[in-house]
Amino acid sequence: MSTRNEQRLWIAGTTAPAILFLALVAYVPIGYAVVLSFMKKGAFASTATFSGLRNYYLIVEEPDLWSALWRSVVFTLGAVVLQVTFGLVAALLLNRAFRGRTIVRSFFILPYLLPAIVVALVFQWLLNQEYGVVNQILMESGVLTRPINFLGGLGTAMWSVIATSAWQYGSFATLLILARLQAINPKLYEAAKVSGAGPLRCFWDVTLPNLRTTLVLVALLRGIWMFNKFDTIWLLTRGGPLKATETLPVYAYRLGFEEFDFGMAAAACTVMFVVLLAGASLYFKFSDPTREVEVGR
Amino acid sequence: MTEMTRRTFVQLTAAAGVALGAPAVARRAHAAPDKNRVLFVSEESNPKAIAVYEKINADFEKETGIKVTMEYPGFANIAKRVATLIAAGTPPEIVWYGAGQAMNLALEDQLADVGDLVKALGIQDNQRMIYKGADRSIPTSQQFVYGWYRADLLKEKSLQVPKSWEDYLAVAKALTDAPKIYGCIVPSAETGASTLLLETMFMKNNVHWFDWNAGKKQYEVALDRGDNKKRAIETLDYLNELHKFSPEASNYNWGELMSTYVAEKAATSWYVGARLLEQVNANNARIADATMPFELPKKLTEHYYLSIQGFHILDKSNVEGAKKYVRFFMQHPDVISWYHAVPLHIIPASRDMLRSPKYQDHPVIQKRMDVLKFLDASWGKGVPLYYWDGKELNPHIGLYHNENLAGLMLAMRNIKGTKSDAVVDFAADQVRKKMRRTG
Amino acid sequence: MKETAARWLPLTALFVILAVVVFPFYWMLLSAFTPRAVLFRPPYQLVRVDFSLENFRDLLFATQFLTYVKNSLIAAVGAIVLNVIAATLAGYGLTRFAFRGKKAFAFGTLFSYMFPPMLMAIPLYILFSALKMRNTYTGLILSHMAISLPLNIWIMWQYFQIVPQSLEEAAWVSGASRLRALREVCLPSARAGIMSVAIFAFALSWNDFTFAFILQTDRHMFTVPVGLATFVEQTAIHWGMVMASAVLVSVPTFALVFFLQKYLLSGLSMSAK
Repeated sequence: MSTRNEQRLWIAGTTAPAILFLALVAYVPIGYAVVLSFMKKGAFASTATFSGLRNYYLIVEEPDLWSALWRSVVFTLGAVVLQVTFGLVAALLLNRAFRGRTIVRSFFILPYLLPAIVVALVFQWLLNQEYGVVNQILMESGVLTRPINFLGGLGTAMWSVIATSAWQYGSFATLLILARLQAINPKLYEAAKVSGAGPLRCFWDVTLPNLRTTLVLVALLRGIWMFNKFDTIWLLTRGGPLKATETLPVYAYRLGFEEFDFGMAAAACTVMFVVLLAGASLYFKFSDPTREVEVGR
Repeated sequence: MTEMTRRTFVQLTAAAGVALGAPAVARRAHAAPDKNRVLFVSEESNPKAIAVYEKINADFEKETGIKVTMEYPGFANIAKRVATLIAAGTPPEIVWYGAGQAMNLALEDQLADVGDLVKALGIQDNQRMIYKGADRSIPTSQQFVYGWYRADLLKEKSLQVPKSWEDYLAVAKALTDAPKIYGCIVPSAETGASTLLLETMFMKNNVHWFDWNAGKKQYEVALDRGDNKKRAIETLDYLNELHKFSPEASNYNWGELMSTYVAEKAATSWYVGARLLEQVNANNARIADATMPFELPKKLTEHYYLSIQGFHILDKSNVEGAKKYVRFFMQHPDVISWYHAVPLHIIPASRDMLRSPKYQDHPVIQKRMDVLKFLDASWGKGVPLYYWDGKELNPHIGLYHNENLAGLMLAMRNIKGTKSDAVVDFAADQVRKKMRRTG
Repeated sequence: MKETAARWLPLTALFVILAVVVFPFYWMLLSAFTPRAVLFRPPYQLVRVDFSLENFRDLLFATQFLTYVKNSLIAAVGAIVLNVIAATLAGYGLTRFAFRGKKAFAFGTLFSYMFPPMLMAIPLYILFSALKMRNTYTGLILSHMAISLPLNIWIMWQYFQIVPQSLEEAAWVSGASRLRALREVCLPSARAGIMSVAIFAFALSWNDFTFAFILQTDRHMFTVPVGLATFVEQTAIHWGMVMASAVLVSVPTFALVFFLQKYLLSGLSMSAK
């Protein structure tokens, strides 16, 4: 049935397409970008000069880089905490059977599948200071006397951006957690109730421990994605006002396409990448993907 | 330091990873420009303008056999697009956009000498862009910054059209009833709109970013020196006062200048042309007849920011084909329709054309001849940034203009609350820092 | 007393959350059907009936929206097909065979998932320019693989781990070749996983702005996100038309989600293991 060579052919045949694709569209560009970070290349120069660690020295000296890193951390943490919390609460609520469940669940999944530009435009329309409906409602109901400049205010921009991303991606967290919730053996709950546990105790002793891996996974996956997030933030605020929402990806974009220094932009991205690498090794600590999972667990 | 060509670049990456066709990449990178193709990147994306391009291109191909391909990356992205094309070794033949932006290309020696075309088309002197002794721009149109006001609201409060800075402040105050409506719009963000406002107001107050040092034959930063600095601070303080009667506008760009006015949330606004009027007509025709133009109030001068758009031909491309095209374009009978694509907004570079019955024969223009007369009356007071500080082309304006440094100054002053002298010092430092980095 | 609270609290909480999630859609829908003249005269009535199709008319006839949709769909379908093939094969190979480098493969996959898409776009642009693949569907689809393939390999890897080998072995015993067993036994069992992969591939391709923006410069090749971005330029923002396009983009997605929910959920639960 499977001779040595047949085996080898199978291994090669099944993994080759994936490897080839990844190589062409991910590894080659990554390699090129990393090489680029060691070069001095302006947008108009058709040649690039090798400059060693110059870009890295320059960028580490830039206070903008550190501010951007800090903002990335703030954004990532804020967004992840909000998304996971929202996801947990929503999943718990959706876990009961009720009429119209499928429709409700559809509404939760929908934001995740929308393009970032649609979400950005809708929220710009909603949160506009001059004629946005959110401000209108808040003022008409007496909560505010003056409208809030959500996306343009120095103090409010970052929160508005975090909230928008939570609206869009909170549903992703909801779905993952909900799926895991539904896989928890109901017998465990019965056992807990029999020994007299109330709903809070049930949650603490049964639900949370079973959810722990999922929550961590969701947090990590979302963390990586939010850390790299460029389009939503850029489309909402362009990194403004006064760089209040300029996270690392937005900073790197500015370096590359507004200051036209591709070498520096590549260096900024490599810095981002190194930070993420730390996060990735954390994930590998928690789970080993090569471990076979028993059926029926 | 080793000089690496793009070929060595790619081969390095190929060694690092798996690259199919890396040798092919290297070979193609050195191909010569195709004599039968012209790539034309245009900033204009109005469907009417595009229709004209397509017609003229078809006629051009019929006559010369040269195929013209268009790209419309849009106003915000065109510089980026051109940069990417050049970086990839495939520069476009023609770029139609602002001469100020094109100056970046000139400074990198990417623009061809178009003196022959400039002479042939009879271009006015204050519209030319000369670098290293040659014309690098073929102007077709211009835009300048001026204001728009609600004549009905001013009349209601018996106010006159403001002519001085004090007048404008008073009028803005009188018309403000926050948050229902504001008297003016002072965008205070790192955007183009904000930048142009401060730069125009600087011109009104005779503030210069640079000074020509005749001895050293170069421009030096002068924003934070002597009386110039005093006037810069005065301008910033004035705009700060004015900002009290404006929405916070900390993320405003061109679109918001128009939409806030159209939504009747501002009694006056301003724009770099008549597109604001077009938007009023399209979205809230109710206030169209009451929307009137006015020159932004003067202080020491009546100058305003002048923006010139034109054809720019890239040096390492099919220059011959490009020049043929430009000549063909400007002489084509449909070129008036091109100017009519957004009537009154893009002003012809030639005053004769502005006054010609052929140009004026358009319903929108006929309906608002007052705007055309206004444009004619304000003719010639505009100055492009790169000639504001002296007779020599100032190569450094990109350092503050393209990165919206002026907009940043307004944001710092009005949103963050930084004191004006600190803002001026910061801006001057930034420009000097950038000069050192690129120089 | 406590019992009533216990009953109503979760329901109210659900209602509040639902309101937060649904309100943007509601406002988007309402604005899309509102004539421009009303849209530019705030404040707005929250519930009103000035129904107008002018925004949709403007969108469909005065812009190239339909072309953008066509391009987005082609890219998405291509991404789905390639993702399913590559991810399914890889998942099968990784779980059915023992070979060195699995950990490297896993790490390598996660590695590429973590790199910011934004800067991968430039090298891809240069590479594709040289290979004359810019402004092509192929180029765009391949670039979308960069963001979706890693996740999908992951999903299929997990999926195949729970498809028991015993099913296949039974097929081999009855004389089927490995290939046949794969096609007729494994794939049906992993169907849920394949659906999930398809949905994720679709979502990531449909939503992509960065790659489409940098690689597709010809207006005729714009995808929906890039096309939408051009609506908001130097002109006053056509909010009505923008909301109309948002509605059109959401409705098919909503239908997809409504009918294919279970696949999405199972896919997500798999990648959670």
